[in-house]
Amino acid sequence: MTCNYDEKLINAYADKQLDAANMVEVEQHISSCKECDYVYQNIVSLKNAVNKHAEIHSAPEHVREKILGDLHNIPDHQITTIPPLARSRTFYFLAAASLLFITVFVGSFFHHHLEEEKLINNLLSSHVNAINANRLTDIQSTRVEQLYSWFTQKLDFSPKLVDISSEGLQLLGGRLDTLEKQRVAAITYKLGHHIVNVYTWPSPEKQDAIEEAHSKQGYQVVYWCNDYMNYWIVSDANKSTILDLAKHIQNKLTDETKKH
Amino acid sequence: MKRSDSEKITLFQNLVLCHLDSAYNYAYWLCHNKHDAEDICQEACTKAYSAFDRFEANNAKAWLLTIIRHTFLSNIRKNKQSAEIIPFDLHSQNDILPEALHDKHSPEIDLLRFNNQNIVRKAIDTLNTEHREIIILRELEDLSYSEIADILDCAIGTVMSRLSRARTQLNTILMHSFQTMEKKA
Repeated sequence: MTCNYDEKLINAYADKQLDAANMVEVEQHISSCKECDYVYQNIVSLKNAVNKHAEIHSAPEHVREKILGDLHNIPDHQITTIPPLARSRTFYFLAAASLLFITVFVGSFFHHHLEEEKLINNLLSSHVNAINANRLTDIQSTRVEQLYSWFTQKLDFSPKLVDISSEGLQLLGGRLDTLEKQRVAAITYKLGHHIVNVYTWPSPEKQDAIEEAHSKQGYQVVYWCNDYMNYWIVSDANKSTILDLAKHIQNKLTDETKKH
Repeated sequence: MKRSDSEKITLFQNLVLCHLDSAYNYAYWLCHNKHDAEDICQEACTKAYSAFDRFEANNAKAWLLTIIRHTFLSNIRKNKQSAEIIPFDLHSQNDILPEALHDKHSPEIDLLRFNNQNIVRKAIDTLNTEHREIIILRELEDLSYSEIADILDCAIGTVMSRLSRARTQLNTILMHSFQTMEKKA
């Protein structure tokens, strides 16, 4: 195959799972590229073949009845049986307090850790997919004001944007994305030959300091929170550069907040 | 029975159990036999009912299918000695050379391989579990990429690449089966 157009996009086009802009782009490519049109026709034939020939198994009636019957016997709450041993009130108090401590502190630590790990994976996917799918920006602009008004029209929050362009850091534009089940603003920069994505969306926290960068699969991911907004930076530039950039944006944001 | 229990059961029936056919279909394609599919469905529905008070999402179908998948995986872990099912092995068809979607064949061959019911069914059965489940969720259950991402607990980008690989794999198996059938004939 001489055309190296991304087959993932042709699949998503056949499934009608792309946004309007990408649907048009793939459609235009397919109509002008015979190879990709063949790939598309092949996908459609595969889809039809599966739909036509793969058997859909319906739940047998006895399974439905058994499940319904079982529901009546499931207790509302998990009942914990307490061993019938004579224990003092202090023992129960200490046991309950320890259990609460373990549940709340250890549980929330692991929950938080897992949630953060999942978010970092999603940020990396978003960053990599935007590059692979050649969809770095929905709007190309080198002006922060233009990006701000575009985002404000598309999102149900107003992202706080600061002008940090410099000789080495070029603002490319903005993109909408979905993370943590909500729409977020992604601002894209070019730093030398590296792409930098800055993601932002509202946070319930007021402030959160910049921590060490998370290094994963060759990418650096840095988080902080500023005036009730989350900020995440993802890039394959080196760690110290990204941390410096994060601090630079944070300082600019703090200055802007003070001004208002 | 308390009145609230009866209300809860009715709500559970209307919201969740109405997707039992989809749950059973998914379970059947995951484990390949009706007895295991029935057991998985019963266990998953019991779990779903126990957790129903905490159910906040608005997509009950995706929620039930997620529980089906977790139940299937945890049963596999429990019965590791069962060598019949090797879930999510990406390399189970290494002996078949990849037949990329852009490798062109005559329209007659395409027509024959896509329209042979036995070949298509067998090809889906031959897919490894990871590829089979994503084809079933997309084509038979008609779920969006976002719903599939929720069920598989992965990013939408992963759904896109996995689905693309699954279709290439399915195409490979279809072509391989078709050629084998032709040789026999």
